[in-house]
Amino acid sequence: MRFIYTKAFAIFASCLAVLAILVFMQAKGWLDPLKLALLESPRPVIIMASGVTVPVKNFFSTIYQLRQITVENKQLQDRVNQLQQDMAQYQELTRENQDLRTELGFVKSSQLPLAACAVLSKNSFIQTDAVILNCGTDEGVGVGQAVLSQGYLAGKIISVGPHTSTALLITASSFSTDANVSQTGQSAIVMGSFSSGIILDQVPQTSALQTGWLVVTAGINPQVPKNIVIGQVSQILSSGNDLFKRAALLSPIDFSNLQFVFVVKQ
Amino acid sequence: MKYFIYILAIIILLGVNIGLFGNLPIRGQSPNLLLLLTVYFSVDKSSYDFYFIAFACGLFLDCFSASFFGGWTFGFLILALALHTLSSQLLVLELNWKSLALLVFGSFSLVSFCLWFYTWAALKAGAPGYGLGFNPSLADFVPALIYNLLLLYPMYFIYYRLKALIADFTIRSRGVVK
Repeated sequence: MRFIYTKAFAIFASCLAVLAILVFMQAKGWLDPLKLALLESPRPVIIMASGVTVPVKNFFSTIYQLRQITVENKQLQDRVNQLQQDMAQYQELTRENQDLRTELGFVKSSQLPLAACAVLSKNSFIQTDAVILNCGTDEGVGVGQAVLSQGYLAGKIISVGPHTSTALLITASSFSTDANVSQTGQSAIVMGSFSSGIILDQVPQTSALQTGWLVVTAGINPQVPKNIVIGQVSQILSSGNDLFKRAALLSPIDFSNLQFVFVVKQ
Repeated sequence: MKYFIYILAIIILLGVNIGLFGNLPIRGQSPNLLLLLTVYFSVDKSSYDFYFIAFACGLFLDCFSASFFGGWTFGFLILALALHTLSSQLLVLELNWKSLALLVFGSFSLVSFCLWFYTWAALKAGAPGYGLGFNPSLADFVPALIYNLLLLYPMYFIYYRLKALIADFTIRSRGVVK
């Protein structure tokens, strides 16, 4: 009996025919309901089997990977420590950036030839209220030149080397410079006071002086340009019986936290 | 009613295949319990139920696979015919551990080839989609075959219990009292 005439082959051919019909229906998109039913029918069994298998698998894989987890934990801890250090540096950089932006705002509006310098250290050897800058004669810095911060007078250069220089802050008791009261043009002297304050002195009693008035450099010293703001009158210190009027000046500069300054080059 | 029991058994086996063995792969491969079931039913000379088993298993696998629709059904039908012809007309097969392992190896190879051929033919006929490359198929072949061989006897036990259940049900439905 030929194989193709057997019942087995007949059933096989029928199945192939049914399959061909199903493939045609699939191509037409008519088979989606049946496919959906076939896909959904084993789902309860799949969920039950997964619910048993997955926790057991996770338990054994965790035990197997315990050593690896320990190593990874140490690496992550080291990474956290490194990131904390990076965060501290980032915060420092953010502060520095803000200071630079403030300084840059002054530089853009200024016509003076300036050398940008970073403060290397505060309170240098022997001299208090002095800072060391990373600019020297190579950058055009010279003795007596004015040091500015945020557009205000911060001090002046008292010694200079090829790559570094020392600046005496305006708050130092040995600092003094000529000044003008901007509202009246009255000349006066600005001096430092006990490392924390700035004093305006030698204003004649006949000259007007009020709180809030600005005090600027007079330009008598050729190395300190004219009209650089020193500070604002915050308090009148003298009385009518004194020889001269004295006032305390307020400067926006944080002298204890100087990061960047500009030196006015000649 | 026995066909309903077959469908139920296929659904349960497919659920176990995906839910249980799908989470325990060997080299990314899981076994094919429906293939093993089809092999065991196909070498059974007593009835033609194996065609129904092969068709239903193939249909389920076609729905769950990303290959062209009909590939698994085609492969399973070819396998069923080949095994039935082999067992009834060419050889006197006595099922033991050697013949079972050889059967599964041959069946797995045949179905894999049929699946690849069907996909190739569908692409040649202009059907949209992607084909099964031969090299990736070969790379998956050995782990999948080993996994199927590991489940040889557990599946044979399930087949044996299923046959007993069908036989018992058939006898009861005919009203024969044991």
